[in-house]
Amino acid sequence: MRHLLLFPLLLATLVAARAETLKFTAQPAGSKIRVDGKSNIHDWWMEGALVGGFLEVDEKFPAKAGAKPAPGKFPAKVEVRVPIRSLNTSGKAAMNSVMQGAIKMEDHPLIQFKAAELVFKEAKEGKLAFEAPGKLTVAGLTKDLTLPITLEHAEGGKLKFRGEAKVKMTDFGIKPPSPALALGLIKTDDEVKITFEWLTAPAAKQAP
Amino acid sequence: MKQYEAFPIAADLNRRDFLYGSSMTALMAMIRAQELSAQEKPNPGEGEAKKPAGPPMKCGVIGCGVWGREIINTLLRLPGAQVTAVCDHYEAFLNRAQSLAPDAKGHADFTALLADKSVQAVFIATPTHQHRALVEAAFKAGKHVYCEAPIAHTAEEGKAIVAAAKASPRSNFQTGLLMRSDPQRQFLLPFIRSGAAGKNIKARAQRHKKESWRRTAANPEREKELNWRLDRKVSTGLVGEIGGQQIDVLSWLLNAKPVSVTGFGGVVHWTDGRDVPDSITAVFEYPGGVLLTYEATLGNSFDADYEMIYGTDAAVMLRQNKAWMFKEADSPLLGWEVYARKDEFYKETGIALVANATKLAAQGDKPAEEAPFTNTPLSYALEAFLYNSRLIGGAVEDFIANFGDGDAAALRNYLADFAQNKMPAAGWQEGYESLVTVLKANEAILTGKKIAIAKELFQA
Repeated sequence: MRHLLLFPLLLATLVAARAETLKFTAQPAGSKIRVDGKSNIHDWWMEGALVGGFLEVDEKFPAKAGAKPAPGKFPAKVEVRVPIRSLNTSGKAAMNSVMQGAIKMEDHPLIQFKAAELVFKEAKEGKLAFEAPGKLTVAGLTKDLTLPITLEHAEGGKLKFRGEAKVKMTDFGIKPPSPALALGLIKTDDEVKITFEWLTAPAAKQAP
Repeated sequence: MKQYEAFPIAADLNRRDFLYGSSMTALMAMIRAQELSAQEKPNPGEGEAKKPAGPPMKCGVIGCGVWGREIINTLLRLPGAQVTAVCDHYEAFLNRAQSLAPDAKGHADFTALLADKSVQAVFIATPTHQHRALVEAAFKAGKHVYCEAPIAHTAEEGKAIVAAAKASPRSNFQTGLLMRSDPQRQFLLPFIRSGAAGKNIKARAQRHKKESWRRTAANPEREKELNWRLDRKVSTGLVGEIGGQQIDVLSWLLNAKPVSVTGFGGVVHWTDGRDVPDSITAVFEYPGGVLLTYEATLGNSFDADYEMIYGTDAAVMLRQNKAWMFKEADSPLLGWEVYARKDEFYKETGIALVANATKLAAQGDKPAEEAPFTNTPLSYALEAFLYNSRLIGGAVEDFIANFGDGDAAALRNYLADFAQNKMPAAGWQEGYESLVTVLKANEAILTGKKIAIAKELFQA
């Protein structure tokens, strides 16, 4: 009987805890992603402005400007999505087709990054530096990746994340493209650099 | 489709590229004219349309006359297209279209075709004066729209089409100015604009073909309907219905819009009661006094059709998928022309103008014997339309999947930025500018006057 009396209290506590989860959703403008690579002929790139997804953190996360957190882990749910067909390459239509084929877009249309925590490292020049140990999925293969990122507070409670990472295409089963052109075989390097900016804003509260 | 810039190696054409050679001056003095064509050697299988990612786009063709059936035939050869519907209210045309595309559903009423939600893109190949209503209805139905050029028969109708296109950012719009998507013309664009042929002095284009334009039909009503091009009230004349393509490509290469046009024309040969001239000349004046002379006739076929740009260092001739350069004796040595193929033109020798020629020369490679881009301009234009429609359609889907469908302004901004990823093609802006140009030219031809074209007129 005593347990039954405690149940509403426990439920209320859980509801309160849930209500303190902060959710930020990707914004339709203000984000970008770019992949830079090299080849035996020249450098190449592909880039896009559609970076979707969301971030969920608890109230301890330094979501407000001026926060001064201590180094340590913050539980989080991070999901970042980039549709491959939103990426344009330096070689435009023909190279888009080559890259989309290499990344197996038809079967795996998204590049995804997921993380379950953000590890705060230091504050520097008004930005908060984190590491995001997570999983990067490209072309259907998922690999562990610890992404160094910075957080900048923007107007309206928005959070802007920036970061970069170097990855090897072959780690994701992608054969570096080598389209044969008139000047001979172009061989692209295995390693590429990914840089991104991801703007999120507090999600509108759902109606009860 | 083969691209010059599959990797960005051939996009940096400038005058210096064409002028880097000087050690063979004596040899080059003996050479006077050379072919300008897309010289990059195609790899096996290239030059043909590649199958794009995803299922083919379901296409509906409205207007199944001669040109509409040409569009159907071309779409049937493109791996990115599937002709699923055809429409013509004239039964004989509809039957012919369905014999080309037996799996396509036939419609006598365009509203039925547009109501078919599986149709993603429509191609409008009806008489010019019918375009507006069809374009507006197609946009309203959420289709991607390809509309033949000229886009309309009056500026007001053209403005309405532009307004519909602007109001429909989720749909791709392309007008049938084919040369904007033609690889050979794309190659020539930086060549001409870099000044490789010197300062542009004048331009000329002609279209000679002996044909009546009059078609026969089973009854007078149908004959009148079929011969709309011979009706001044709705026809834009030779300069509009045919000349628009060549005038547009020359204006594009010259990077200018005409400031005036003077016209001449008359019914010289086909004196069958028509009042639309069968032979015309229009002289367009561009800034700086550069003149473009356009001639067309239905009474003689000699020398067919071609375009010329005359520069102080060389003249450039464009014929179908080839181009040649005819150099002045005192022009600077370009260098790469040593390796280029030459063709004889009466007393002149043409040097083949070919994409990547300077790079090939630098590496000791030899030019292709023939132009590598052998598809028709219509094929390249439709391929660009399909690619761009897929691009825009995919961008809309991705945006809505990530951000929902509630922020129209954000979607519009995203699509506006995304437009830079499109393959080269004529959109509403080019279509409207071309319309204004040919309407003024037709007016000049019919009145025999010189007509000023204020730059404000090009604003849709």
